[in-house]
Amino acid sequence: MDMVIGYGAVALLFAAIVFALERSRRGGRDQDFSEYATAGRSFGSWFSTMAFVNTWYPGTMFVSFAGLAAASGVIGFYFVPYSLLAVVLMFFLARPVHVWGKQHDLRTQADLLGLRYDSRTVRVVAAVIGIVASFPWLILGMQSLTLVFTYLSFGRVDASDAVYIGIAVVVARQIWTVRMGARGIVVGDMVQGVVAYLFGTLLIFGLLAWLLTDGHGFDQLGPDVFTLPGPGSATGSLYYLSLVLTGVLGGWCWPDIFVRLFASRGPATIKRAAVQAAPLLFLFGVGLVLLAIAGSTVEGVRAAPDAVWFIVAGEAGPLVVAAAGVCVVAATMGNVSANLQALGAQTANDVVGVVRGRRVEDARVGQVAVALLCLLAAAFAVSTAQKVSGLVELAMISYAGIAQLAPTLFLGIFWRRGTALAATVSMVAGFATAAWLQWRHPTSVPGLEGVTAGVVGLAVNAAVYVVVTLLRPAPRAERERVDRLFDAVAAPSRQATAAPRGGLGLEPVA
Amino acid sequence: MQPDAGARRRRAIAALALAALVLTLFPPLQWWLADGDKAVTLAYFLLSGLFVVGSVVAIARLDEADEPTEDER
Repeated sequence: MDMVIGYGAVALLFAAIVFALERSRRGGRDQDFSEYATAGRSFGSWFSTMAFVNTWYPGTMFVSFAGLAAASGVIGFYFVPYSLLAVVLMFFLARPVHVWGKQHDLRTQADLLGLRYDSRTVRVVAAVIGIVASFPWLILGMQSLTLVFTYLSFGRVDASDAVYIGIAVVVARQIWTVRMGARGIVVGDMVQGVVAYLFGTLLIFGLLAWLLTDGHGFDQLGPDVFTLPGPGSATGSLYYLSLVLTGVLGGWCWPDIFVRLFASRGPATIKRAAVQAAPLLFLFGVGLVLLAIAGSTVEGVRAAPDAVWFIVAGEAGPLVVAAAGVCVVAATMGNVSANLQALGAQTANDVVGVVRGRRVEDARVGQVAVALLCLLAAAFAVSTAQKVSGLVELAMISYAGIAQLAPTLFLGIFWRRGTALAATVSMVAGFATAAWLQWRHPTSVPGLEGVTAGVVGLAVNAAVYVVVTLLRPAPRAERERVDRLFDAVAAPSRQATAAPRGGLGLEPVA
Repeated sequence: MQPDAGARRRRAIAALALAALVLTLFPPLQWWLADGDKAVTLAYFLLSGLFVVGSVVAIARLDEADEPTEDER
């Protein structure tokens, strides 16, 4: 009976998502590739908010991120400040990204970089880095469902079988991703986001209140749980800084996160979405970490910290376990679907399109790419299904890689002088540095006080970008082209007498 | 409206963003506040997060004068 409740709850969620998606298809139109990739730049602030939150927080928040807090204490908070700082950055990115996107029919992050630098090489290198770094998150998503379906079976299905169920659910959800593209993602994110991050936050605080009144408070824990690595620590005094820095800079480099900016109606909509997302990200993140830390004293959590969410929920009975599982499934569906759609669109638009030498207009190219990536990720998820505790390490490796787009992305958007040569050389140098160091030193680089491979790669990357730009400046014609791009970003002010060019104090630096 | 109101808004926005960065990314502050004391450590994470959330709201208010809202209609 318990298994019927658990799996039945997931079936109900799935039915609700499909119902919402099918309703949104009524009166739909045949879509071209732009519509498939950007949903026609048509969504308002609440849809944009839930799409951002559902894409930003993956389902593995409930598994490996909660597990990190349960095992290691307050260092598990690191994703909260980087998420909030990413929202601050969202403000700064809103106008230039949306204006350029709309004026030039941009469909992907790599497309935007190709426009900014007027370079196919930059576009392809950025696309390939984005695809390679994002791929582990598809595997993470599918594996986090393995744990869900193991727990929702209440002992009847083990992990080696649950992985197939998880993959089947994710693949089934992708039918609508393939058919509807970005529009299906955003509509689905509203349902999934409400379940995972509104209902999920309520569930978190309910369980936390129960823990704190049932003898599992913070008083039972030692001071090491409430200590960040400082000078003289084994981890290194700059390890926490490295995690947050890589997260905030790398966050907007994810193709699926970035493309959410294209689906919104305009810059004001994106900014309003940021205001709405900030408290939600904060409450959910803080609540989850506090729950995991307080729950670390519950029997069984020390032995399996990644399962803290389900073990704590299990103390309250099968209905609560089912609710906990539904939250993870909703969060995972949102993240995996967005990731697949963005990577499929990027593969079609910025790899296949460039190789063919013509702009992709047929949505079917993206659909095929999404389907192939889904099958490939499923194969990897099956082959690594028994290594759940390594999920965070995998996430950190991919962050080290994706963060190497940051100098090219941010300096390209906010600094007029950056060149295509600087962007290409810096991305390759940063990625190679980060990959080599990450392979040699998975946690942090020895002798650098806990600084991670990703941050060292970023330092090399940014230095190369600036030096190459200054040594080999763009020719006059290219500077004039870039000036026209940046001038287009200037905001028409509602208060003409005090209008700063570029609004928000974001006038690009000459 | 003062002629330099836009410049003041831009400075205020930059100051808020900088304060958020320092509060969440400055290692000595974290070594000092997250050093084993439960109440102080948890207060640091909660209050610094609340500050950033408040900064986002404040930045939005400051930015309203410069960002047209036509796309919300």
